[in-house]
Amino acid sequence: MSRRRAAITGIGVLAPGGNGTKAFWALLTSGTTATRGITLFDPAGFRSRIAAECDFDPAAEGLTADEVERTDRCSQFALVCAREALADSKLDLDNVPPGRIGVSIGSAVGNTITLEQQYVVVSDTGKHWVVDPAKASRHLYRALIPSTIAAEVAWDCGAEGPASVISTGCTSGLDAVADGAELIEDGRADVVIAGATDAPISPITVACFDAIKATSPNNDDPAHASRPFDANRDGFVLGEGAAVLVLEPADEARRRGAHVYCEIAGYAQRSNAYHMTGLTADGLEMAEAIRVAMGRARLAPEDIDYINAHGSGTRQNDRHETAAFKASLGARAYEVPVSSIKSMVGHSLGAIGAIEVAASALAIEHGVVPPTANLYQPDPELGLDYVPLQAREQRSDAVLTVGSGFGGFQTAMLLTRSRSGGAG
Amino acid sequence: MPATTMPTRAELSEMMKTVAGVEIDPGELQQEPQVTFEELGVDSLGLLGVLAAIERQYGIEIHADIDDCRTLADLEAIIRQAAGPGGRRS
Amino acid sequence: MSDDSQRALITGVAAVAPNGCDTNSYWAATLSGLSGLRPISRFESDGYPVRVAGLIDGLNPAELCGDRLAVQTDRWTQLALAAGERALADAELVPAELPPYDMAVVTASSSGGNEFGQLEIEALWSRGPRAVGPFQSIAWFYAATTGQLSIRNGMKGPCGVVVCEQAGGLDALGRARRALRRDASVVVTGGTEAPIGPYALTCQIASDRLSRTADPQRAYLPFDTDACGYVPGEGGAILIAERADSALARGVDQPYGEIAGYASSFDPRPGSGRPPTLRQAAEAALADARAAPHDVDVVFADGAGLPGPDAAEAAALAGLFGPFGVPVTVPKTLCGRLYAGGPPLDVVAALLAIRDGVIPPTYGIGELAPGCDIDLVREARTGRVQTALVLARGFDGFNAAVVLRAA
Repeated sequence: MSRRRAAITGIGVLAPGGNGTKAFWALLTSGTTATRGITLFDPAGFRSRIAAECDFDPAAEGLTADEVERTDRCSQFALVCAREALADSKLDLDNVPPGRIGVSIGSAVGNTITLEQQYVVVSDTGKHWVVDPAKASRHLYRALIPSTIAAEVAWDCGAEGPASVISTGCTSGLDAVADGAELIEDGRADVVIAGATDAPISPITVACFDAIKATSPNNDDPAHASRPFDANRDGFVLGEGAAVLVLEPADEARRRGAHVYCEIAGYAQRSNAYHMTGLTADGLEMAEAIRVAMGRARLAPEDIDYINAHGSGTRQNDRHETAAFKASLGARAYEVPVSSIKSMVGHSLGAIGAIEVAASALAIEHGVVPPTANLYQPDPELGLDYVPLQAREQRSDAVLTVGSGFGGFQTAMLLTRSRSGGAG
Repeated sequence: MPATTMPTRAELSEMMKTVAGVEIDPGELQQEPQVTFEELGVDSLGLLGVLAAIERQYGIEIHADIDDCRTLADLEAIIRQAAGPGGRRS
Repeated sequence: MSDDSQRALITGVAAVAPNGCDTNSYWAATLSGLSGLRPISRFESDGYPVRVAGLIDGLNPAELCGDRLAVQTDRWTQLALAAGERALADAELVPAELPPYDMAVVTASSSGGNEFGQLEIEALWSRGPRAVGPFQSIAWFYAATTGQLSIRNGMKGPCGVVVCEQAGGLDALGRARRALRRDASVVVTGGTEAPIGPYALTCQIASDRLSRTADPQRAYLPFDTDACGYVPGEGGAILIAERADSALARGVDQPYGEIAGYASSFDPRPGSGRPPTLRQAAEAALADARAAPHDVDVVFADGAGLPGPDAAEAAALAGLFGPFGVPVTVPKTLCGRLYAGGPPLDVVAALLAIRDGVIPPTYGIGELAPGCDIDLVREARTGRVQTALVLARGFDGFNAAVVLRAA
């Protein structure tokens, strides 16, 4: 029995530098960076004081006062993106039985901002270990549990099928989209609203990355701080944002005349089983994930036209990932363009994987490969074509996107141009 | 501010226990400054924690790359450098 | 699907519960009515409206996982590491003897490493950013337990973390079963929870679902006329899910049972006028197991402990099985609702019911609430148990169902 493939028929993105998919793509193709000094809180006293922030006004984005009151910023991002994606798909959900609509949203750190803000209130700014429940917001339980993100999206689109939040650290976004695709393939849902969100720019998150020196301390030059694959890279720049996709069975999508961006041809997850944050230099487990994903997609290395990298900009990641590309793709690794959009929109932890799927789908749709910004001095140790500084016009029929995260998670996904009725 | 800027072996051993959860005999540290932290079971995160504890306790700022801090001798060299002129936190 | 070699079996289990720190003591307590609900003693909680919790006493972090891991993990992960080790031993599975890519870890969590997080966030706000330690980045986030289990046991297969409040505890098993079909021959699965720190408890109190009764014996009464909320607890279970052909090759001759069916659903938005979908999830799980309602020997109910949700669950059961149509039990009255850890613990109880031919009773329940037309098991009932249905519901409307069958 052949599995029915999932197709992407709608995209919604909220990323630093411009809200909505159109602004997102314009940012990427222009090679502009959206990293700046942190404004969401006063970063004085922190080691890394820069981030990629979204300029987000929930009311302006259509959220009601009640929605804003009961949700964290990360849920608000997800709602806005889900709505954009559904509108983009032109899918009339009234024609789909609610039990056949699924939701799969990734998030690494859930409702961090609300949890931190409320903590300050109930603890009297950290004075009391035994915090005071009487001071808590009546919505506080919904902040403790990240599952609320999926609940909000499910309520908004009337989904009664399988709904979940996937929280696998920095691969949450890719894993949630993969999970959504699997629901389609297994026949457990006919429409899946799949994506990811994170709004981690909050003191505790910045401090925790400070403590392990994972983020760039290049506070004097925020615009150039995120420099994946560069010889002078010195850590990632924390970001925030969300992306949501509408997934449908490819055949069904074509039957209803939907616009299909691409199909999710294959994916695989593997783990380093080595260290919670450390990466080996050989990238073997990511290479294995890539190989297995390609096998499922029935693609060979020469079929890959573009690699959307994890490219977080830490010294160890870019080395690890490059080794993984070389190990899995052989000579092809040196020919295919590789770029990291984290150079422009920062690293939004669990969200970025879904944002990168959106970027990859758009690369297929528009025939343009986004650049790696800030790449003035490619690290000679790495040696691949990282598309420095400028976007490149190139038709891509198959894009590989990968993610890597704390806990050792490694995920690879192949997106391919739809056989017919798709872009181009 | 402590009188000296170099933690004793006993202090280091204590830090490794509380911060990294690794029990190391101070005598062992004394005898084998070239033993690697990896061999001692202190991983990179634990070491970062120890460095941060030293920074806090001695009011210094350590800028060295964690990759350059493989042994106790490395650590002591790094601390000495950080505590030297210009190494104090303003 | 399904030739027999692809079946998802459970070949090892390890419970860690307020009424029993290991599987045998948990099962004995469950059958005899020994409760793990106690007045909260973890911190000075006199001012808290919630007085009772399911607490695991006498297990310290170093005992659970050793010093090195103890400093870099929350109690939630420590419980899972200890249970993971025991579950593997129970399965007589030595990870080093299997190909790393063939083994995976899929757990559920609801509140993550909340107590570790509270310590660090307190350090930040009382002493400044530099007071946050290096392990906050790996101890609080919801993936910490899966990550640490994968590293500790050298498991390089497709690892995952699902978060759907209490329903997630069954979703993890559903995903484990899926992973066994595609990618792995062994999946360490289940989940634990450690939600009894001050901030986590404060968050839960805001839900208005927790019982405020001070008497542990009267605090958590699912389906009872006096249902007044639930008691939260810590603990859970880790299970070894293994593909049948792998178990056979290893010489496993007595698996606990099979994950025969799984399904999940989400309730309509409150106020939409549409009915809740727990029944749909149960029906879909039964269909997935190719089982009919009359095949089911026992239902391990979700047991919310609140009048509305209890009535809804009872209605779903009556609708599916007919009024009083199937034995229903809620052994969790003895340990509380353990969020992501709860359903895996229920699964262990169900598997032991299958193994021993005895349905554990629901202790402490008096008169059933009106309209709860369920055959609630009040005393241990012996007899062949072949097929069990386990239900779980998560806050906001998540529903999950698993069908377990004797192997």
